[in-house]
This record gives sequence, C-alpha cells and structure tokens, in this order.
Amino acid sequence: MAIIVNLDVMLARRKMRSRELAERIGLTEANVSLLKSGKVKGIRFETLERICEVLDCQPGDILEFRDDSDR
Amino acid sequence: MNAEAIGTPPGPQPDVNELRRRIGWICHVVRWSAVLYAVWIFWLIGSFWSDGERVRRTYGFITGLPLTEPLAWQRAAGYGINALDWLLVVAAIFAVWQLMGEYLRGRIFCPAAAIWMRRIGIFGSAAMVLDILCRPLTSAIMSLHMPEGARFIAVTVQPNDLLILLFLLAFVALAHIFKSAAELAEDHAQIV
Repeated sequence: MAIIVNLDVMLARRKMRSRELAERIGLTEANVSLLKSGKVKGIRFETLERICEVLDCQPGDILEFRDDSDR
Repeated sequence: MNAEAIGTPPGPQPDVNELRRRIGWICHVVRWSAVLYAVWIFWLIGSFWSDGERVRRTYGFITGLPLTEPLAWQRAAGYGINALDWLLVVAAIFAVWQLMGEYLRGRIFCPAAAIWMRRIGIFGSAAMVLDILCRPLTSAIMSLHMPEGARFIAVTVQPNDLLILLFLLAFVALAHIFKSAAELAEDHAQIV
C-alpha cells in the first residue's frame, strides 16, 4: 500500500493509548485499531481533523506516501 | 473485510434498527403468506387433477369442444407437469423466506439479500414461463384419448401472466441495483 498510516508512531510520541484517542475523537476502538493497521479504505476529513486536534499534529504526521517502486 | 468487523464509523449512519422495527411485521407476514401460498397451490393442483369431471369441464370450456373425461394417466401427466412448475414456485418462495430472514436479522443492504432477491425474480420468472409453455402441452395430453381430428392444442396467454412476468423481471433488475448498493455500502463502511 502506497499510503502509510503512522498513527501508532504519533500515539507513541504523545504517550497516548488507542482507547483514549478513540474516546476523544468519537470512534470505536476497533476502528482506531483498523486505522492504525491501515486496513481501511479511507479516512474522512472530519476524522483526520479530530485526530490532528487531539494529537496536536499535522495530517502529514499521520499519513505518508511511499512509492512502491522505491522498495 | 466486512462492515460488521469495522464497527460504527463516525458521521450519519442509516438507522437499521429503526428500519427493521418498521418492516419487521411486514417481513413476517410476507414470509408466512408465501408458505401458505405454496401449500394452497399444491392443494389446488391436487384437488383439480384428482377430479376427472372438473378437468373435463375446464378443458372443454377452454377449447369449446365436447371433451370426454380424460384417462387416469392423462390426469397424472397433467398433475406431474403442474407439480414440476410448483417446484419452481417453491424455490422462489424459499428465496422469499431467506430474503425476509436477512431483513429480520438487520442485514438489509448486504450482497446476500440482493442475491436472494435476484433468485426470487429468476425462479418466479422461470415458474411463470414454464406455466405458460406447459399449457399447450397439458391441453394436448388432455385430448389424446379423443379421436383424431378432435384433438387440440390450446395456447393461452393472459394479460395477467405478462404483468406477473413484468414484475418478476423488475425484481431481477432491482436485485442488481441492490447488489451494487450493497457493495457501495460495504465500501462506505470501510471509511472511518
């Protein structure tokens, strides 16, 4: 997958657990877990906005584009 | 990955429970009425073909010819043809039962429901077409005991037959639309 979700990295930097993030952004813990593992088809701007707000970061800190041909 | 595994994404979601509450009683009525219909049709087929005089009167009326009572084997053949058609009706009714079951379990916008809907249309249409095609065959069998020249083949197609066929084909088209909608819903559920 070319888009990498770095949510777990940001959570570790902010020393925050998935459960707390889920509660604060209004997602289920299962959805946060799926998002962390990149097993989702998309992310709403609304969700991204809440994550950035709670983790005090930019969308680019959470999502990263990696060209598959570079590997 | 299915929609249930993902859980509840943020944003507005169709209230499936509310929908289920509203259509629940209709699903139960449709389900049991369909079963009742199958039993009723089976009884009608049995009672018609077991009564030789009734068969004679009916086919005499259709053709306007002085038909004598068909032999037992002719009535058995007529019964067999109708029973074959009835089996297709049963298949369609089984699909109705399954579709309503999916709805009652709250699986409304899912591919399985769309597949059962399509089967209703396919089996129903097949039953209707077979019924129309078998009418000339049955009439021919019913007059086989008559002398040559008095035998007949009755082709009967009524406006109601075409109307039912039209509805059943619309069901098939709707099923395809629902299947696409279900796939869209599944995609949508995977967006958090």
